[in-house]
Amino acid sequence: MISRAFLGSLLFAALIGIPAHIVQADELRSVTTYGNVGLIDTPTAQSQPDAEITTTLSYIPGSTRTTLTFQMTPRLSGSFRYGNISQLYDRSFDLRYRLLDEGRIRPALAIGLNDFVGTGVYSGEYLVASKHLLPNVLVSGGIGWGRLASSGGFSNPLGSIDPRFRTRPLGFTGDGGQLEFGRWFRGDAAFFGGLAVRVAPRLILKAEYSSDAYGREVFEGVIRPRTPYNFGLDYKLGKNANLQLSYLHGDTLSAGVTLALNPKRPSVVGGTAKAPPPVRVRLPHNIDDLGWTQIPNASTNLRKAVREQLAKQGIVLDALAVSPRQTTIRIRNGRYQASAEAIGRTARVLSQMMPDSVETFKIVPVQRGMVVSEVSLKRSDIEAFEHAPNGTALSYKAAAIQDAAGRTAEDLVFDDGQYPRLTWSFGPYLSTSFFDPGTPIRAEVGLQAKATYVIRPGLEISGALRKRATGNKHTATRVSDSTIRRVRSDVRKYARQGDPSLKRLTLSYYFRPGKDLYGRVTAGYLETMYGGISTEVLWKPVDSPFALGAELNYVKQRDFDQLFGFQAYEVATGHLTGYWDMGNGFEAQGSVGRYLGGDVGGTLKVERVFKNGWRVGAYATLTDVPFADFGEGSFDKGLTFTIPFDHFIGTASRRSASPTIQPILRDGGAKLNVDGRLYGTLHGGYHRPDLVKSWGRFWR
Amino acid sequence: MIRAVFFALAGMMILASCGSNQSATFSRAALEQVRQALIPKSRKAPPLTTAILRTRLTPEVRAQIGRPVLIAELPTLQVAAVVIETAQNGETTTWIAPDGVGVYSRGGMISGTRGIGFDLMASDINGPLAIVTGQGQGTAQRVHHYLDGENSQITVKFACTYSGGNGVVTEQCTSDHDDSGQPADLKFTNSYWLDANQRIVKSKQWIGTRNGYITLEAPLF
Repeated sequence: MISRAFLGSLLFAALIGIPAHIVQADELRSVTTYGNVGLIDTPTAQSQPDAEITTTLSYIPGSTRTTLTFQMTPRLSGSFRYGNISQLYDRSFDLRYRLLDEGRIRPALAIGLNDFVGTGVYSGEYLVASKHLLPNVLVSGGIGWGRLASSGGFSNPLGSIDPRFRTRPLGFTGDGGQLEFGRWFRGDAAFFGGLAVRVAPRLILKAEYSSDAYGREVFEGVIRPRTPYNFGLDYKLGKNANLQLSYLHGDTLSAGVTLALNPKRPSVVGGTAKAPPPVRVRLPHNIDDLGWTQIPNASTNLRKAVREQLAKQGIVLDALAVSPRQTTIRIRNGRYQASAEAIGRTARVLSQMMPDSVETFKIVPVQRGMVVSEVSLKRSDIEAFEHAPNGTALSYKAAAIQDAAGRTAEDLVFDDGQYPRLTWSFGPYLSTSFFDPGTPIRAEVGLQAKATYVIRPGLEISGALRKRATGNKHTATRVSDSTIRRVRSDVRKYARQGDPSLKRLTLSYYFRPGKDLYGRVTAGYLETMYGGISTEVLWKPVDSPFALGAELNYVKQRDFDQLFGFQAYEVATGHLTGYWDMGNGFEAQGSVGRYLGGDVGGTLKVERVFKNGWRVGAYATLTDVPFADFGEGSFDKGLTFTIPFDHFIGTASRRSASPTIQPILRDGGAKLNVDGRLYGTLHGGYHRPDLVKSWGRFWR
Repeated sequence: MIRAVFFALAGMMILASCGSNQSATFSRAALEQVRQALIPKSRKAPPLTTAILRTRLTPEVRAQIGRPVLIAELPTLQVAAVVIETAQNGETTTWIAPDGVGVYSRGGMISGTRGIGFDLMASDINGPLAIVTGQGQGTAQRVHHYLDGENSQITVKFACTYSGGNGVVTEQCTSDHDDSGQPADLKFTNSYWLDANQRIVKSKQWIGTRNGYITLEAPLF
């Protein structure tokens, strides 16, 4: 009853017209103990800014929740949570969709599913409305089901549509990890709601009526709710960090920290890399002067000069051909995340170094020894557009982008010291593993040596060796309980016995079988757990958002000590994969094939792709391994990230990290990890869809 | 604080690494960040200013450089530098500072910057330049191009009015958008000092919300 009266007064307040101009100014927003936008336990109808990634660590004695929330689109957000209630460790996923934006009178409206796959400890659904009464006062109220109706519940109003809504099935399906839509919006419903007030620029006070009874926590003796009321505060520690404190249900204090990161907001927009070399403008009467062609060693000298100038830009000269009117240059971009910036700087260097008669610049980026595309530019356009107000658009329009396969210039000369060449590095490494109950975070540090010897374009020997210094990854004693072939779940045995470990030792060949086609053959110790041979062909036209790849591998499982021996298990595994860059910031990949355990099935992956190199995605794999045999989680799923380092350091760097969060590592739907997969090598590179994304930096 | 910890960790990992090449720029940048984060503000050297550089730019130093120079200062970032003329393309001059920052100007009016971060990528200043170096009165439009965090171009149009006399022209510009593309009430005031031939010899010019103003002046000798 209290809840209804409370909600009623809030709705009344929301309806008494608030001037529009004060509403949208600076949204009053904080996160819940569950790590998504809301009050203390209960959600509001708000969203984070588009693309925001927040990590919330919230703690009450006996229970922690670590939640990663990603605002996938301006309206849709998803959360992944790992937490424990006493000895119960649990992973959960949430989704929220903002149906309506806040208007002058109308409140924002959102619908959400909490913990909608898996074992469902936090499982609940809701519909919630929120409104700023004043710029610094937010009221919110909603109706919840499941956990959000575990206190103050009443008979489900949806029961009048279909009586089945009145009861919520108990438990979860099989071993968890499946969509529990048979339970959504069913069982009792309850109202929840509350109020947030900004009392100082950095401080928000919150009060709510929560319909969350903390059932499992009560059972585990973590909390003893005395009232349905929660009180809390949110304090802004810095630009991207907030602190939350709350007093829950009249019983216990809770503390939390939220860190925010937004791929669309790098630390320095455009970066602080040095100004590019200016374009050299030719004098008109020199353009037809071909005298330079008579100078002995002209092309050798030119190659040396171009090599030195490109090196200053972090670009490696691979090969060069110069004729009286045209030059073809193969480059390797070692510095710029924005591929068009590497093209632009190369064009500037060529304008500086090339004799005046050379009018056409054909720039061919090389990746793993493969020519990717040919960006052809007119030198006179480069001269004319350098300072043009709309130089970005003009230069893009003037650039001819085509496939570089089979277009080798006759007089192309590979630069000295390129083939063969040796690159190596030696230094510390950090390796982590997550979600081991009892010790959710494990890590180790040690020394790593890596080397690559490139024999000729595309042909290379590469290896990596590690020696542990210290850590607790190898002390994990939990033994795999998998009932199917343990193709991945013996990971702890590998960690324990593999010291020192040969991470990788391969001979690989990358090549262009024809127009639009890319090929790879890799043989040797492919990854920590498997060795053998891996082959791949990728069809990826230079102008197309589509690509199609076929991969075939024959591998044998390596010994746990990760040296040279093999176990008896061997398998033929491979996939057919389709890729689609949807062009709206999303990319989809679907693959079908045979996985490491010999199981047959498919993987679907969807990624939000940012033009600056960030990628945030999720995937799921279903195979013919029955859910019961797969074990906990029922099927393989995970979150993937690509994090470019230039986002943080502000200056140019092509480096990035690509962590995967795989909540449960088991043996169904497992893929081989092989270095240098073709699509991963080429994406974000030099095909038209990628060059368009980075062309804003052509003149950077 | 978080940044400091991140950079300290990154710096430790990098300090201990070696290799054939590749990571040179990343390492240097990260180490510089670590250094900046760890040195207390009070112990950093006092920032250079136009006044200091003016005294250092003796005729001998000028002769040594052998090319036209300007003194540029960015008060927001507390940096100043002597920028050297390195190229001419049409009417646009490229000035480069020893630390690699670049400034583009036409007849003394800034048309772009590079290497500062949040740079002015390009601009259309035909109207403003004609008025400032002409009658010094009237209105014109100024168009600035910036990048957003995803490297897409953002165009900001400014409505500007000009007033002046006695060799000084003031330019007041407003826009309803800022250089991140957000609605804003953006205003700035540029000043230009001209010689008897109506050439800009000294100026204070706005280049963006993050960087604020740049002052430019030609050395007296």
